Amino acid sequence: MNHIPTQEMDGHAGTTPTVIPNNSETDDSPMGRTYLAVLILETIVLAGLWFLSRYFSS
Amino acid sequence: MHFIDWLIITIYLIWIVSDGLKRSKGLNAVRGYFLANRSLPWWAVGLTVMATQMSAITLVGTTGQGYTDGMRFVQFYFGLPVAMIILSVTLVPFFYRANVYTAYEYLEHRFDVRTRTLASLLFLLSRGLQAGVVIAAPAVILSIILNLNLTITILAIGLPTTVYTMFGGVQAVTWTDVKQMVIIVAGLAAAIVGLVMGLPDEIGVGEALHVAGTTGRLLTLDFTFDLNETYTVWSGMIGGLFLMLGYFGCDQSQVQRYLTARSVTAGRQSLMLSAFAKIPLQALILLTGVLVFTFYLFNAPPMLFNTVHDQQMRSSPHMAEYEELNSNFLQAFNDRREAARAAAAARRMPDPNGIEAADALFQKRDLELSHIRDDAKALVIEATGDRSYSDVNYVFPTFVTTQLPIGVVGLIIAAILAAAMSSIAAELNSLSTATVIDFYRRHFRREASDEHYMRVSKMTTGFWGLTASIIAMYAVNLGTLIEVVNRFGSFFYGSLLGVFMLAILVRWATARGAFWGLIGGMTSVTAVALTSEISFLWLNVVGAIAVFLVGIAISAFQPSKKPASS
Repeated sequence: MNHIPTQEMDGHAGTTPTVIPNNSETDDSPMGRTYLAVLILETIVLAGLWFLSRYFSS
Repeated sequence: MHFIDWLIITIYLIWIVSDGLKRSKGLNAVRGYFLANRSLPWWAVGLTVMATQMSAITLVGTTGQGYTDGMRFVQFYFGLPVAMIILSVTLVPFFYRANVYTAYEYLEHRFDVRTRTLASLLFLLSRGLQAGVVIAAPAVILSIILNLNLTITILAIGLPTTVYTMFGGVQAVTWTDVKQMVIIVAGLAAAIVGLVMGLPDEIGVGEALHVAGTTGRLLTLDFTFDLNETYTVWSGMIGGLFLMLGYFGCDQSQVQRYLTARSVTAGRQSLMLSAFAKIPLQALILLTGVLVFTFYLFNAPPMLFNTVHDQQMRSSPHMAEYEELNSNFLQAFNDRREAARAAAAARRMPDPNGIEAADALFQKRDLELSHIRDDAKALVIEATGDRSYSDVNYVFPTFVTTQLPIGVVGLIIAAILAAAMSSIAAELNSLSTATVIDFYRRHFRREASDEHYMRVSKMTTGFWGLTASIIAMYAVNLGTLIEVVNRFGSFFYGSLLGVFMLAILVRWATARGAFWGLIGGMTSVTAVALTSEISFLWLNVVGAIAVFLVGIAISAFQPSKKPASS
């Protein structure tokens, strides 16, 4: 369970109470494939825009 | 406009406000009002992220830009997908696990209350002014296009938005944004269908785009490296990357969106929706503008799209000169139309020389028409003294209200309102959050009941809605103010990004380093902006790097008083 430092620990007057989130709140599924898909799609979109601009501007 | 179009707009406004207001049921805690109790699904958060970023200025300005300049503006967004990935890996889990309401609250955890307060103050100033501009810009255009009183138009946009945001909180903002995105996309689709159907029967879309392509409007990628040029691949990939990191990572109006997600993964997925969809959507909006250009190749456009100036010129001492220009314009349009038809027909023949000759003639006729329009614009500037005159933002609304069928007009005007209201709602909610959490609760009333803070939150939302509407009423008379306010964003985002970079990347960075780094960053950006011609996109890079370097330098000469918290 993650311990979230509070403002009291840092010497500041705290105003936000610390809430320790349960596991569902910190659900941290791997996103690597999604990031890769984003980069691949951006490459495809950029290539598509380049091709279309060359095709219609020729 | 026809009665049915007004009915559609009225139904839209009533539907959106009532949908927003019903979200207020059971809303009795600040955590629900500002963060929806972290209960929202990733797709709803993703759509509200997109709706918040896409204001009416995007819808009417970008289409106008596509009409006059073509597709180049899409490069502005090339850094966005990488920015979304970086934020998903870094700031999203940081903010989520820090259990904050605002991005700037995290800065107090990491540095001190002074840095938090300065950052939040900069946000309030920047976003507060921009909220007024987001109302003013479409209000001016719609009041002219629809022949409405300007003040009433401003209030018609600002008041309903304020009401449902004030009572419904972030739940209202999110779920109305979802519906408004659907309306925006439906409106765009309807416009594109209308544009394609408006071409002559013998001219295909491909042929029309080829003709438009001879003017350079379909050129999308510019690989030249020129710091003074705004729209290039490099300014978009690098300058745009920093802008998007600053905006989506450090602007409360966006940060608050993904803080409402059910989990860290849902928050990340919401940003991935923008990463996937933003560039294609932006290309579609620009293409709509290009299609408006192809439409007006074969259907007579007005010489000036702003009818107010057109009427002013016809009753001014320059009337005779203006009428002559208009007559020349009509003749030049006829010539260009014939040349466009010939250029399209030439492409059906296997004769490259014929195509080249037809294209050259079309380009000549297009240039002649452009020169007459430039002369008309110069005449307007001379007659009115308005040096910032431009009718680019009136191109798309003029096309919609004069060329599309009944019903479709109402849908697209509703889409423009939806784009404005979705952005404004998120801004008002985030302004209220920063005001209550970073200032009122932090500095003035530290212990009070949730009921008290709820009351204050609603009041501050109403306050910011009223303020934005008043700013809009003044902003409409100060054309350059809109530009100044928008460019202030460039001063702000890069510098604030630099502070967060210090917070996350440099564990020994101190509070003093962060505070004076922020001051140094904004000073550097101001100096560069005033003494050079570099594009504003690069100012984000300047600000981030300046804050980072100044912060490191000051921190290096000051021992850290506490361990850095993650």
